[in-house]
Amino acid sequence: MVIIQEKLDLVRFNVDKEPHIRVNREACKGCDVKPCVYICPAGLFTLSDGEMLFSYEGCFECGACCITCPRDAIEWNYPRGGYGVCFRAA
Amino acid sequence: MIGKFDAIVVGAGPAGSTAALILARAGLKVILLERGEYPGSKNVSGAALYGTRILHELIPNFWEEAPVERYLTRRVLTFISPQSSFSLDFRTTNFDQPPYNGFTVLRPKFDRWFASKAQEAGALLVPATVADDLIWDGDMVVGVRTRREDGEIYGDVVIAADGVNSLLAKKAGLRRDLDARQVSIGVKEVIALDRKTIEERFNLQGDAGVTYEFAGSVTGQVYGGGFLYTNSDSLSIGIVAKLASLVEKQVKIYELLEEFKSHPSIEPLVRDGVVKEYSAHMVPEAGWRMIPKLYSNGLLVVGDAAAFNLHTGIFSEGMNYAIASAAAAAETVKQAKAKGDFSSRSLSRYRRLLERSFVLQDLKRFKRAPDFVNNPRLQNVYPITICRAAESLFKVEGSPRRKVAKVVLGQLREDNLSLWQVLRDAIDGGRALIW
Amino acid sequence: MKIVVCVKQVPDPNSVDVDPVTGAIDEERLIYVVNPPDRCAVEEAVRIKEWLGEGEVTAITLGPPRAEEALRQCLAIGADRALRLWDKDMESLDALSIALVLAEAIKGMGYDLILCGAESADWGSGQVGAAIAELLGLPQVSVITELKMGPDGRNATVQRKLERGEREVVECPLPAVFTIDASLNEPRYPSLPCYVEALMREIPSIGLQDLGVRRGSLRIETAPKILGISLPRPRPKKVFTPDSKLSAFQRIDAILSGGVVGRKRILIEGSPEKLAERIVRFLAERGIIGY
Repeated sequence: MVIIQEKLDLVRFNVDKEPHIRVNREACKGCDVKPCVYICPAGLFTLSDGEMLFSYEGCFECGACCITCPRDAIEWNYPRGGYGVCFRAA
Repeated sequence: MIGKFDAIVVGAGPAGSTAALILARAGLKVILLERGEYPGSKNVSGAALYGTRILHELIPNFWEEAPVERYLTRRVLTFISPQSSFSLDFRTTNFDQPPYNGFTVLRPKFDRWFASKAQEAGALLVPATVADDLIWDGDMVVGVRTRREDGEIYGDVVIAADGVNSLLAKKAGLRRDLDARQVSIGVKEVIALDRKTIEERFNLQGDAGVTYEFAGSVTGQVYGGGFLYTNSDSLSIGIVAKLASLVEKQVKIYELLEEFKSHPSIEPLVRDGVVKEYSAHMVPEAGWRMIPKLYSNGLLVVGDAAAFNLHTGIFSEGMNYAIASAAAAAETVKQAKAKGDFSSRSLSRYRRLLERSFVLQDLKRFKRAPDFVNNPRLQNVYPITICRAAESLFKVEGSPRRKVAKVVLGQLREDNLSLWQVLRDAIDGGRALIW
Repeated sequence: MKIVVCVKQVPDPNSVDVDPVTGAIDEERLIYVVNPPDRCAVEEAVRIKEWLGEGEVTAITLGPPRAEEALRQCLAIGADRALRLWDKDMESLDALSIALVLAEAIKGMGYDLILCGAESADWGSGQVGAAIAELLGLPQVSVITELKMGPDGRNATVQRKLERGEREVVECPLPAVFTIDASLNEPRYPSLPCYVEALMREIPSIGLQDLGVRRGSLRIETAPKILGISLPRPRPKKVFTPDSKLSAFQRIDAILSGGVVGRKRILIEGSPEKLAERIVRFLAERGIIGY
């Protein structure tokens, strides 16, 4: 079991107040595959009692969640310029 | 509103900075937009920068001032089974003098430096600004709209160097949404290790470096591979896996990375290192088949945005294609500027230049490679078969020895592979990579 | 109205990685930003100017060439001018010396109001604003969370942040020095034209000599030095059990306070000079300072 939070703690995020990704809960509910739970390299999609929990704060802005979502439930955009992930060594 | 520019370059990665640098040197008024706090702050690669000739032409002896980590003199391809590994190890002293064959770099440092060269040449670098949309006049792109108040920027031409997700190419209708079968996702850690330890562990001297590519059970049943590159005083280690395959197998890629790091052949190499950073990025891997339409009226698409990436199992490159494609785009724009014609017809010269350069020639020549690499046997069976065959070949246990062919055929039978199948895959592989 | 804002470029605390063994900071990975309360101070100055319909906002900093970037951020928010002060040996100046250099520069440019961040995110001494006020002979209000200008711009009503969530409202004649708490406002996201103009501006830099500051008046050698940085280590702590003879209310109170015995307090009153003298004597009597 990998604790993804420990990895995210190594990364600098300049978090904007407004989320850049929104999940449509209704569309998400009907999905029984939920690839986002596996695909997100930051582990930002988690299930709690069948309910999708999502946080945008540790997002790498890779875009994988959006293109694998079978229900188009993810409204994806980049954060405002200057905000979001900021790699220093990558 | 801010004044009009000759060229608007969106994205200050290697492609964007190349275009901005060439155009600014030609005396054009260039604005270079970057959505990160600084160029490179959103960028991730392995990162091995090959094909340095073209960069050397732009900035002679760039390695003397650029933040490059190590020049590459050794390249290792390793097949991995859960317990063993089998490597092809190439090294040469021919690559250890200028202009060198390749370097490892760390993108936040390298991209920042490269953008500063474009800036020195006269391009206006505007970081922390995301371009959301194109501005149209009829069917002509005449600018971009940034997500700031009064954020419109007008220009004769827009060069979209906005990366694998290129929202601009999509807005212009040049390409469709990405397909999970066309892209991979890469995760990577930079692990600090002192220079002396790196030199000892990897048998290196001075600033020489090595890249390792791994195939086989690195990624379990998922299609993909691993890599390990040496930097000056750190290692870059990562996994690149097919998006569709991760979805199908329901595997988390960061767990693959941890397993990879603890493999008996890898663990001794990264032991005692301190993880400095974790990162992730998508890679356009489908090659020739996913290349979008490359230009329209007032718009050119370069680098990852145009899916200019070569992934064949032997080669895994992107930055050199980014730089070369952007150079071709810049040449096209220079000429369009001289004629005062930025129509699709005038910009079509971009494609012709690319066809003459290694960019489209390589991608076309290796157009079968992505399918070949996606062969399930190649991904998950052969590497392990190779390791097992080597094991039975080298095992000494007091019983009579068999000759190599016997060993290999026996191993194929054991792994339920027919000779016919193997030959067919070999021919596929040959057509994809060899002839 | 002439408003001068003192700003500092600091490493973003998010980017500071301390080696757990050696306590060393990984300088290569630092990312520099405008000290957050300083940014609020610039924003407030620009808002005052906009509200009055006239005025000039100058952002000044004492910092190396990379600090230009911080000044550009201030220009993008709406400062009219920016000035960078720098000379050799300035890296290790203490708060008082920094204030001395800043005050000298401010003196030369004329002012009606001086704003500073309440404290910096790196060293956090919180002294520079107060020292500037002293050096320029101005009144000072610290850690303000609200600012209302008088209609004629000759005074201001400000709210100060006190401990335990308490607030104090003070009316202060101008010119004065206010130090700003980061809760005062939300700095704007600059418009593209303002931002681009800020990126293109030449930012003047002035050395000590041009400023008329004698090197000897600065504490370059005697400035406090950092001897080491260590992470906090948990100390073993006895579990506290309250005296069973106390009332329920007193026991809850005792548990909440963790059994800390209330500190001894001495209340002294008098003029500022008297108070200062008493404090110094108090500390000297206990051997905490030499006197």
